[in-house]
Amino acid sequence: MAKTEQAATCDAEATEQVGREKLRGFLQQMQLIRRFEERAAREYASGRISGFCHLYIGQEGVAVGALGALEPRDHVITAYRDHGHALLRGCTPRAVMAELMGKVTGAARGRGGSMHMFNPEQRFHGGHGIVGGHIPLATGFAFASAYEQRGDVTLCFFGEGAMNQGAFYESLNLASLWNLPAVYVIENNQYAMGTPLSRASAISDLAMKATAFGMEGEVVDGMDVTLVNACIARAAKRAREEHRPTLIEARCYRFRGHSMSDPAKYRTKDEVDERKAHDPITLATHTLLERKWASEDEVKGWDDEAKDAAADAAEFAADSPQPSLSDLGRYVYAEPLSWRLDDAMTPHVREEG
Amino acid sequence: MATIVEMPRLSDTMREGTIGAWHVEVGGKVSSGEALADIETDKASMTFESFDDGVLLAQLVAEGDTVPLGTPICVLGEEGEDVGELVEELKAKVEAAKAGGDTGAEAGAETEAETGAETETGAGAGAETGAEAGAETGAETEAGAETGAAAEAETEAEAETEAGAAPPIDVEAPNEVRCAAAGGGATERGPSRAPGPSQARREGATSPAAAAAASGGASAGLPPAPEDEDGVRVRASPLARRVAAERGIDLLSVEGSGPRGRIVVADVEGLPPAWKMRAGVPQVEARADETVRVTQMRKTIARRLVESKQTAPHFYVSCTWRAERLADLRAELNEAQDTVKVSLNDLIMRAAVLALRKHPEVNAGWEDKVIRRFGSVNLGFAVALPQGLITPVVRQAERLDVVSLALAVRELAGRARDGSLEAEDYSGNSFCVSNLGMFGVEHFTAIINPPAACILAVGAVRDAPVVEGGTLRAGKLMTATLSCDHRVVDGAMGAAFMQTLGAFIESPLRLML
Amino acid sequence: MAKLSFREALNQAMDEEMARDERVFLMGEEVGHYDGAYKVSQGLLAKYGERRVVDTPITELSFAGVGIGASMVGLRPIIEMMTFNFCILALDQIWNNAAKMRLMSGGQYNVPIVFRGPNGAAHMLSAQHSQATENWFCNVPGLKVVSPATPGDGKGLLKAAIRDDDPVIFLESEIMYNDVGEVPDAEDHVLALGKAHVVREGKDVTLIGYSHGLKAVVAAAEALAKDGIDAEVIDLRTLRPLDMETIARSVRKTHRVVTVEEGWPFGGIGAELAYRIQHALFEYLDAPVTRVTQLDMPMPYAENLEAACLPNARDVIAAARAVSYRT
Repeated sequence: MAKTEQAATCDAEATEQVGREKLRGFLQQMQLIRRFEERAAREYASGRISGFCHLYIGQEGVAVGALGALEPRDHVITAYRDHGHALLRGCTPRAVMAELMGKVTGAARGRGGSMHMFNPEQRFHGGHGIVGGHIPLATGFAFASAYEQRGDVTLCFFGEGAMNQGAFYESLNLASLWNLPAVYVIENNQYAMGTPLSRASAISDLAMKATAFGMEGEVVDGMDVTLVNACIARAAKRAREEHRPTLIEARCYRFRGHSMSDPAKYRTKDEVDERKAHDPITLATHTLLERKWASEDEVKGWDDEAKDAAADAAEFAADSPQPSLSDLGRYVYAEPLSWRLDDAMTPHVREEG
Repeated sequence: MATIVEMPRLSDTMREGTIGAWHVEVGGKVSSGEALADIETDKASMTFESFDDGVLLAQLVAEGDTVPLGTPICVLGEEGEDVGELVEELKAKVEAAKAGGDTGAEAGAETEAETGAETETGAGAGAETGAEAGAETGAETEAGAETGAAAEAETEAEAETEAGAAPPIDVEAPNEVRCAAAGGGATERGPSRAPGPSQARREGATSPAAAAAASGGASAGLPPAPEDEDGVRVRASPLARRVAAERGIDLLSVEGSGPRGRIVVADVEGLPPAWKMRAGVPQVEARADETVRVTQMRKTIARRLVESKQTAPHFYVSCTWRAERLADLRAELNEAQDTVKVSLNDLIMRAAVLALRKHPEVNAGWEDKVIRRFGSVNLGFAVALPQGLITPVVRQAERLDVVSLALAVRELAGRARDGSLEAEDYSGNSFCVSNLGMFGVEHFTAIINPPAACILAVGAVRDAPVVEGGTLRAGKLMTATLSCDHRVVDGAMGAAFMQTLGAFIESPLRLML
Repeated sequence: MAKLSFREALNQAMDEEMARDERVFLMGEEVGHYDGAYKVSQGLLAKYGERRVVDTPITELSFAGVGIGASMVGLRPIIEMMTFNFCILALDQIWNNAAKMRLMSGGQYNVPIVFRGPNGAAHMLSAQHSQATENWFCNVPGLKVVSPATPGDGKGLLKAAIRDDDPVIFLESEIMYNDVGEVPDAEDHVLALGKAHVVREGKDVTLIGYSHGLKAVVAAAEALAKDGIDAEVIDLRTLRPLDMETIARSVRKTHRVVTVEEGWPFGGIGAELAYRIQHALFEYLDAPVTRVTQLDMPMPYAENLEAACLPNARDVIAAARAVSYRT
């Protein structure tokens, strides 16, 4: 962890609002995500995880603060950088790690991988791979809530890179037009892969785009878990009680590359170090210690627990079996496709069930 | 406790990495998340951050050196920790990895080829990945080896299935062709066009594109697959049908070696048996030619028959007669006596004798200057022996009634078989009967057996539909063909004889007189 | 002849064509400052500057359309799709504008544009990122579709695509970017579009493949040879228009065909080939045309399931034996 010259802390007012117990919980959640992601990186380097692997390191404050402001009945959806959201919405570290390794014990039974974690029981409707492609889905969840007048809220996360897709504009217009209970959260980590915001968006104050749809817009420091929590709480209330959508820009930073194979040469080490000084975990830690809401030993203990949980998940995942080949034809339609195993080995006869 | 850091995989397609620069000197401190080294992957130079805290005790790979994934690159530990021995050991490993670095890629390629071929090594999940993936990640095999026991069990199950049964390949999967209109550009302008399918028969060429496709020598003019007696379409490939049509081969007579009996081109071309060989079927060895010594008897047969066929101008008269009553008579006769089992041929011979008595001009022979009309019917009949054909002669057959004639035939045939015939027993026939009915032969022609001028070739009595009073009913027929020496017997004479003979056959009671 | 990787060969093709023709420019996500998501455009920004190497936001539909518009008024864009999975967002522009402009205007416009990028499954990227899209584009009259199998072909075909006056979909393979092969240095190394290539001559069975699938085909042909089956291997190179002449010449000789593709079977490349072959060459066939494809389902993530979905050399061998009646 980078050294900081003076101990930055979370916003005082928001911290008061969040309170001791909740903030202690937030720190533990952030630690779990951090340690889990570090472990995932390690497993990727060793070859046990393949494919794309987008780590959430640095952005933990956004998901933890935001989801901490929701009720269990509310809906959550995000893009492909989804490990953290999954962990917060009931996917166990074991299930997420097993999914990363393509095991049958994974959160999507080994079918989805890093970008596609799901837990419908806790209304986590997945990680999605096509930039911006899930924003209409979120709007659909909100539509269903309004349709059934249930009073639940949809929280939709996406990166600032997704805002330039047509799906963003079309969805937000509908949400405002139809008074849908949705909260759209831009996780602005400054880079769409290697492209900085300045080269991708004509304006830098992204929440301003809300004006175009006639909805509320708000900017929040995504590195401060307490501010995120307070901000999302306001937006969720607006959605639940006033049936109005909100667009929120959470300014954050990812400490790692876009994916494991991204060398991240588009930014300087100094820039990264500066951002690391505002590590959401550091901020929360200092806040708790300063207010004596937690002891150093406690924080260290939670961190060790997080490491242990990540290590346990890795071990579990490695030991888990791959999905059975005989189940290959499942989950394509409601009825499993009736390939026999030997058929499955010869693709030229794999036709029409 | 020292930690060995290995060359990490920093991209999914990376197989080896180069140390671009070390960020930490030996003896320097590093903590988790801090840059340890720059590593050049196949795509880019990446900063590799340490997963652990500690002091860098040794660098095992120099800047600029390339090693495969998983090769130790440095050692982390506590300050002052003695790792001298470990480092020596690891350095040897690194050298070995470097030396094998190039061949590593080749080995990967080999594995690919093997997986591609049919070797089912079943070496963990990695082997299942198919040719390409195997080559993609050098770490593949390791990944496979590391998967847990459960995964191994699954792999075993797969291997069993694969070994147990070759995947069934339904090459009959329906071709869902619903529209005859050719996809644009199906035009086929190949140099060698199909020989001569009739232009007129190119149905379905309704669009210019389709017409163009058809004129490229397409499917028009291919004869339809024939149907068997039950109306079942013979299964034959288009090519086999074309080749059969070109060569005049009846597909009904060809046995198909393809799936579900499909006739394929190999079946109509008589290609080498290799095409039909299947695993587990013992190969039938080709027999070498062999020579058989020509016996005296065979020489005689050859000489006499060549002489007959070359000097006697043969013509043939065939008749088909109703044979129910002949068959009935035979049955009754054999019920009425047990002296000898009378055969149909015995009855036919008896009929021939009676007919010859009415047509002495047929019971005759050519003797260059004269025609001899024989006073007696010296009735020859053909007996097939393993060593050749012989025709014993019943002398003065007109003296014998049916049963006596049958007894005489049995006696002579028996002697023929045990080789005790004397020359006079098989020479001097005035007429001859040859019967292949016992082989199911319906109709054949025989070569005249001198000195007789005629020989009767008799086919089987067979069940057949017959018309009686305008009604179709089940009956019995037999066909006989008289070979005549035109020098002795003219057509009308032969025909008249056959008419008489037929009357005896169809009203056989007179045979008993 | 130089030995180059696939990505270097493609890079060289773009470089040479940009040097040759001022109207040629490259546009797409991460093509410039990032030097290409897969490093195919490496160094081009440095050489040609931001005017001719244009980074875009994540806006596939729009930058596809921007390219088409620019091509209608005289430029010759190369549009890089980071992967063709993302090109699905741009289909409206490509299908409705690029493919139809010439006809709708009665021949007054043409759209000399290339859409290029990686296509098909790489390794463990799951359902949304593993799609072989070639048959979708092949279905659209007005488009040409090219998919090279070697670095040398990649260069020659990409140069031809850039010089072509019609819209060309140029499909690469992510997992082949590192493949190394002989690449002619000649500036005029331009391969004709619409021509297939006989990679290996044989007399017993015709194996038709392209792009990454050709590797399995070649490996299968080698294995089959040891087994006494002499396979002829055809690399299609261009999927639309199809070179039926080369295929017909081969089928008249071998009487048996196996087609290989990494896409789905329904309405796939093999389906089209099978139709055309049976229609034009019916009486030359001694066995049904048989296709080897990806399994008919979305790609699962797990390594073993993915491997079971993708066709490999073993499948090609099995199919070739089946059509040769050598089961």
